[in-house]
Amino acid sequence: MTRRTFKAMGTDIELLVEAEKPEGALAAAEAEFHRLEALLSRFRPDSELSQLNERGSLRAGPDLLEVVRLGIQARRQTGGRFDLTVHDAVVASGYDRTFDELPAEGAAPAGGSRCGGGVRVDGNRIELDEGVRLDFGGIGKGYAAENAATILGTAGPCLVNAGGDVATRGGSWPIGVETADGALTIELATGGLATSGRDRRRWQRAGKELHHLIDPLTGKPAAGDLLRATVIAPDAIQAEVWAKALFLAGSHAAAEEADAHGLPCVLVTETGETRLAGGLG
Amino acid sequence: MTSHVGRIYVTAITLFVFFLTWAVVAARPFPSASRPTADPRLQALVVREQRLRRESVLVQKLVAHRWATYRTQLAKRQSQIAAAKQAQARQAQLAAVAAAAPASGPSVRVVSLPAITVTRTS
Repeated sequence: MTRRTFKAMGTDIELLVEAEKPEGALAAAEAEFHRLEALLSRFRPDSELSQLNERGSLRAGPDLLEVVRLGIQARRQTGGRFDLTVHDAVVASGYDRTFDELPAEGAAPAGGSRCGGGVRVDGNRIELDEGVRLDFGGIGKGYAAENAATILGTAGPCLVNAGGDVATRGGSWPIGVETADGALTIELATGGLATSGRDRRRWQRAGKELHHLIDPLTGKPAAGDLLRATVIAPDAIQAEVWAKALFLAGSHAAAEEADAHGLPCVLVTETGETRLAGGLG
Repeated sequence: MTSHVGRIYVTAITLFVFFLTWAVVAARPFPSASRPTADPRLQALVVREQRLRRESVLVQKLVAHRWATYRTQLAKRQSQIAAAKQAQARQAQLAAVAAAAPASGPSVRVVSLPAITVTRTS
């Protein structure tokens, strides 16, 4: 098995593949991450996403179109708990630059911001309601992981781990999940896996701890009882979307929803409890 | 005298027979061999009219039968369309429910193997 690690999209990327000569596929998969980061990052002023956010309307390329379509679909599926329009709320909470550049301490944030504005796709044109800006923080890495896995999968069974958002193609992969009691190993044969939580990507403003998971209902960092939610789904994109949706639901509702939808998941509460739901365990 | 009276009687009888014969002949009690026959065009029209009347009756019966068949088939088709619409509505409802939930598919289980990679908060 060959492993390659590198940094992209503000996180550590790990590529694993079982093949005799995987160098070409590994290089192509890595290039895919950098290509998508250049298109979808809100921190790059020349990215397609930044242009869309600036103009409010854009004749977009296929990747931006697809991510927006997936985001709109995810908003509907999760009853609005996943929402691409959290950009201004994330920025208002202090996450206004790449996480590596973000100061650990700072002044009080501006407060919550409006979420839930209109996003329309008409052909290859994307139109946003006035004042609406998009953030792909909850879907971009999953999308990139799936694309990279498709490329890497041409060489052999593979796993792509984009900072916790995992996509697989073939093979059987034991994956460690952090719980309150230590690591739990889950063997994933097909599908994707993702973890959302507030134990990383957090900062302090005026003595108050903040994190990047915005609740679209309030426009502020979510304040539920969950510390982390790991979800297994048919692909990394859905896993990422549902990880955030279940995180926002809170432990009790998340477990019920995971059971109802057949979503295997690991829920870790801030009080140190670990709960398996959705048929896992 | 006798001869004179006789002549009168004979003359009167002759005149009576003459006028009687005339009246009989004038009354034409027997068909004349030279009487002309009916116009053949008129006869053809009459025949044609009769044929058309028969055909008209047949056509009306045929139309009535076809109308009844059409009404039966229309009712059957309308019930099929209504059933199809109901089925479509049910399918749309089921599709909406299915769309609200992620598709099933991932194969996963908890194992005691060492992990090859780790997921964490992204």
